[in-house]
Amino acid sequence: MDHSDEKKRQDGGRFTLELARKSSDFHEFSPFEDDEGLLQIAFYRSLVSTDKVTHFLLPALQQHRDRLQHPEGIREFLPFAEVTQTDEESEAVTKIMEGFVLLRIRSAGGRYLLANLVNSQSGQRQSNDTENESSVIGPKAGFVENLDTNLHLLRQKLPTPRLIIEALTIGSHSKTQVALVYLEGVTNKEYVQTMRQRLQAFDIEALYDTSQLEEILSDDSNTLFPLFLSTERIDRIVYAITSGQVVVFSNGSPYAMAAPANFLGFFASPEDYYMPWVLGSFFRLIRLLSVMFSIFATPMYVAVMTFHYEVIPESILGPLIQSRIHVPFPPVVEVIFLEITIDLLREAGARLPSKIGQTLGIVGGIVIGEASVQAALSSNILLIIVALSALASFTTPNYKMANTIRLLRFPFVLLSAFWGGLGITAGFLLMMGHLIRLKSLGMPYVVPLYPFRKGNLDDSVIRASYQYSYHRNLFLRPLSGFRYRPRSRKEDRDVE
Amino acid sequence: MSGTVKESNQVSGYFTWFLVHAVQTGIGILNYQQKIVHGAEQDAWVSVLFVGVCMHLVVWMMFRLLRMADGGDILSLHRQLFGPIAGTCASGLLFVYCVLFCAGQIRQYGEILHVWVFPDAPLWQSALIIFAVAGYIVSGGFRVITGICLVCVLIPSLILPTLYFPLQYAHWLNLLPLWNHRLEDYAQSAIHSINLYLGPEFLLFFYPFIKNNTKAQKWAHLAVFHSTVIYMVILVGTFVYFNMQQLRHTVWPSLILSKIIRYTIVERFDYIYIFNWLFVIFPGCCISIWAGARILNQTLKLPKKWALWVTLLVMIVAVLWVRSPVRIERLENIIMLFGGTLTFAYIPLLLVIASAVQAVKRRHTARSD
Repeated sequence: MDHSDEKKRQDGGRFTLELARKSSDFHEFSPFEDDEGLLQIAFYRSLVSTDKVTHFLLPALQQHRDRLQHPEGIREFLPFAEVTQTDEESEAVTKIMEGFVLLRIRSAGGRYLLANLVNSQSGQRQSNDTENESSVIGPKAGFVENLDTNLHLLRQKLPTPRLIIEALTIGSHSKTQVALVYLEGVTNKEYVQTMRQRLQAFDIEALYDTSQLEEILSDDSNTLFPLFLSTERIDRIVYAITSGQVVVFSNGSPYAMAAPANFLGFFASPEDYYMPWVLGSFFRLIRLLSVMFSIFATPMYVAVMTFHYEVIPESILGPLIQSRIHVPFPPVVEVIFLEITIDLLREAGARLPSKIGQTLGIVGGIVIGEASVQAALSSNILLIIVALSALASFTTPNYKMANTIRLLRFPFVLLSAFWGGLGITAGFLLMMGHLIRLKSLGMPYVVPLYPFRKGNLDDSVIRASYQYSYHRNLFLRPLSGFRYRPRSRKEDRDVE
Repeated sequence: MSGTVKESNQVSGYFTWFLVHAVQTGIGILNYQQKIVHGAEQDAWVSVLFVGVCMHLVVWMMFRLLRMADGGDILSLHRQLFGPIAGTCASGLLFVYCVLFCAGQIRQYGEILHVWVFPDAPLWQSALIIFAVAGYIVSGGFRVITGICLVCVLIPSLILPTLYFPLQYAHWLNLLPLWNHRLEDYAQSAIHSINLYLGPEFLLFFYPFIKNNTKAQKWAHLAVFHSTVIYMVILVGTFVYFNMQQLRHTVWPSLILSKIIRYTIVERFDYIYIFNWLFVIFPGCCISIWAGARILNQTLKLPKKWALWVTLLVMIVAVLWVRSPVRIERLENIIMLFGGTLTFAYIPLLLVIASAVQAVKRRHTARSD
């Protein structure tokens, strides 16, 4: 059965004009009736710019009506940049699918002339604001759903011939164009090669978004942690390319994906680089601390309230007990109820139209929070802890990592409900072991912490001054480690 | 040779520091003061220091020994010196040692959990959760274990400064009079501090997994020195806080010591110590499980996955076997005897044998030339 399926799919790879004619948007006609249909034109109305057909193609043909006998003759006067010729019907149809217009002369038999009149710009959204990864300072423009536009945006930022863009096609039906981008002389060839191989090796029906590739191409597809960094910010991708990462774009997706990624990289926001380094480092530390808080706050509450209430001093224990005195559930049920509520609000906020979503989120949050305390479903103090840890989890600049952090607390809550502090410690060890095990394109995930790279700590937990971080992150094994010449101290004295 | 290790599985030389130190520090730190005080009393620190110096000697011998092994570890050395059958038997004894080492750590930790935190929880639960996590980490290979060792050295180091709190109540005169004991007393204390220092002998197993391993010796010495300093600091801190009579009747002096630490939001700091101690015992468990699985894999040619399962199963049975505190005491003594013999008698003996064999071989080749 598998074999016949495979055969059918392979047959599907051969296209005929007969197949194309079944579609209503396939347009085939002879422009000059009196030639008895000598010249035939065929294209998909949905792919081709009809303006170009009526304003350029047809007038040109009209003008050179006497030279319509040979495909070569037509080719000479067609006013388009991309014109090709083929004898293969299947190839011609594939080209038509890319937005070419087919010109066929009946007397010339099976020779097809194709001119590119693709209409790729319409139907795209006009604004390219970075909606999901917004920043206060720094550029606000992000990628859009069109590959050409994205590459154009990238080239504008990095106008150097060293920026290499390789094109691939992925998806047996979607035929999505995928671009592999790297910086010649900087990016390690091994990563480019690995990425290219993985892209070529897998088979999929349709590619909807770059993020899909993340799971398919990753080294370990059973992990919670994102192993590739996907972002819609141009500056983030420029940073990734210049520091020696490979970037993958796919047509139809506003997300670009950088690899190999390391764990700490997900907590770096482009804004860190636009602020004085002390502030940038401070915010980065705050973000890392808030991750720890958001994972461990509620499990610790559960552990302490279930097993180790001796740990809490008397002065705090009083208010804690008092706030919980009417709650009939064990702490773990209380915590899971509130955490799920927060996740419901988040999920509903993401699905609803933005205008309703915000209002509903705020009103829902306040009403549910306030009412659940009054109804003795949860304690006041827990409400504060849960709200704070939810807030803390949203500080992560990368949306996928933020989701991972949000999910991680549930296993910890369960562990702490069963084994208290021992469960949290054991869970922490398990998480560390898992993180150390992970690899992204073969690079260890928690580098530069393990394996420890002293020289690369200047842009990891903190962001050191540009004066010192003029070396590329060597764990990415770039071909040239030197980024730029730091301002020398002697030149600083420009008083005279 | 089966002993050769791919470079992608090796770790840098300086990780020897973390590996040796992390395996060496273990559950013993919580109660060694009470054990060694029976011999030399307030002078017991001399014995601790002495065993530390001896351990440096053992590390030196181990590196000499490992340089002679074809495959770089003790399993290949056993095969090389004693032939396949006797060599396998000798390695089998080492497997017993791995099981004892791991069981000793986890059983004693389980006892502390039972007494201090979870009086109602059965032992098999805490043993199971620790073994499950350790099994997952060991299945990740030696690089993952090394990373965990790094984590497990750094995090417990953070609570070391809390020793400042008991020092506020120090009676420095407790350390006097100096050196008023007989040699037998010092020896008794020294024998009881052997358990503290056990761990570097796992170097005999993971030596081929270290890059440029001949140059890693300084890191191993640094690790032993690091442990010695920590033991000395904690010992002195304990001696100046407790008086001798009190110390004799305190089962876990380090935990009692931590009880006086108090912050505005944390009342019982000993709980934090206890849960933090999982980090301290964990590297020892991981390395001994790994070494046990490696022995089964290399000598009996069991597939790696099965070797790990069998080792874990044997160790869980060993932990659950030891039911009463009296048996824990006996287990400790067995480990002391076994480990002491292995470190201070077997390794020197093996060095003598290996050197002799090498000398004979060299003379033989010289003559044939």
